Amino acid sequence: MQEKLDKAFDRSLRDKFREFSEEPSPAVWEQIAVGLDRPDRKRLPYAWLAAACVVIFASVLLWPKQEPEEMILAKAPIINLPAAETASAKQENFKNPAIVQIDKKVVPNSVRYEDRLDSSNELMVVVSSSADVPAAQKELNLQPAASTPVVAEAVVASPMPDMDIAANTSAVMNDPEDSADSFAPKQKKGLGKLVNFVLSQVDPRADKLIEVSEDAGEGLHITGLNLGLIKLKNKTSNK
Amino acid sequence: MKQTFTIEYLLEGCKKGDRHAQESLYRALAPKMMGICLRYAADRADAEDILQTGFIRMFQRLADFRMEGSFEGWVRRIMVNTAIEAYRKNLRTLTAISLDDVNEELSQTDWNGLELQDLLKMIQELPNGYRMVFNLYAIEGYSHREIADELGISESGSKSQLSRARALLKEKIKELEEKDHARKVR
Repeated sequence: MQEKLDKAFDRSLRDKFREFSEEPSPAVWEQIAVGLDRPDRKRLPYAWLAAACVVIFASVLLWPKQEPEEMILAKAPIINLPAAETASAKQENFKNPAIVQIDKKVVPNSVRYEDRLDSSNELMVVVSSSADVPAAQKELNLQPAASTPVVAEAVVASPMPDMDIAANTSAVMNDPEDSADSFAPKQKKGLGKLVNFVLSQVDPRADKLIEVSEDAGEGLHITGLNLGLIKLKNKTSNK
Repeated sequence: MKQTFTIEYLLEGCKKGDRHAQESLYRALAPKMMGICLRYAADRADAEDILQTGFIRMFQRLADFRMEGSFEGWVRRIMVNTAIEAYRKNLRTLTAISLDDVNEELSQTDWNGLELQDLLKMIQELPNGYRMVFNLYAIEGYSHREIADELGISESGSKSQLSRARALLKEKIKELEEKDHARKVR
């Protein structure tokens, strides 16, 4: 009974307001016209954003092939520091000297620099100095913890600038006569793993947006693409 | 048929960003949409804010409209959704009122003579939440489930607000009728 009365009440009001209309004030159209001249900020061009990401990744992947490593090294400023200063310069580079552990071992006149990014994400930097003073080999064991230094973070987190940073760092830290050649392939290998690592952080799927593998001589190859509807996978890389 | 053609013609112009077409479409729809906004707002200024936001949104989304259904119905839904959004934004200012239960039933015929503007004023004077639920359920025909989803409340909350809104409206209508009756007798 109550329900019937309620429905009748609702219906009466609905009928009364069915054709209800009222002229708004003229200012409303003026405001609408102003609002229509402004761009709609809420609608981001998602398709273009996605395309931009793909282009950025592609350019990172293709860069080493287009530009010889010698040129990258030649562009970077080469600084030779005396042995005593080298260690302190290293520490300043890392901006967070508190977590840098330095073990002194005497290795005369050798220059070695290794930058290794292995599966456990441990970045190991072995720095030694070349000069007249009895040089010390310093091992900088950098754990990828919260306090990981800025340089190491850059290598892990951002695919674009890391090329620059890594190339520059290698040139700065290395004696140019020695290990430029031996360093380059490792750099490339690191980049391949780096790209896969970054994507594994961003993309939870089993088949990532882009999968990369590196050949010993030829550099990086894209071995898999997963664009949702479109999946490409190089079977030879699935070993 | 002629009107359908006119709307379609205007829509083509609006999609190209023709300001005259946009204004013509606005002029054609604004009074009716204002009538809807007035029901959802506490006053005229709030209603015009909803109307303005709703129309800008409608023009920006015009490309999404398929020519299949009723265009007016589509615009109406945009206005109602804009009103819901405005309500949710202002949820903090919602004031709860104490309410005496109104058990007296109104005769169905008496209050039909009331002016639409009086009824509108009563609806506008309802607490914000009651007004939303009443409009959505009684006039727009939403279910309690849909209202609960839209307003972020429970279904039982929607039901109780509806019955309180009805009770308040009936009480106000009765008061108005009594005043009206007293004036006639004098």
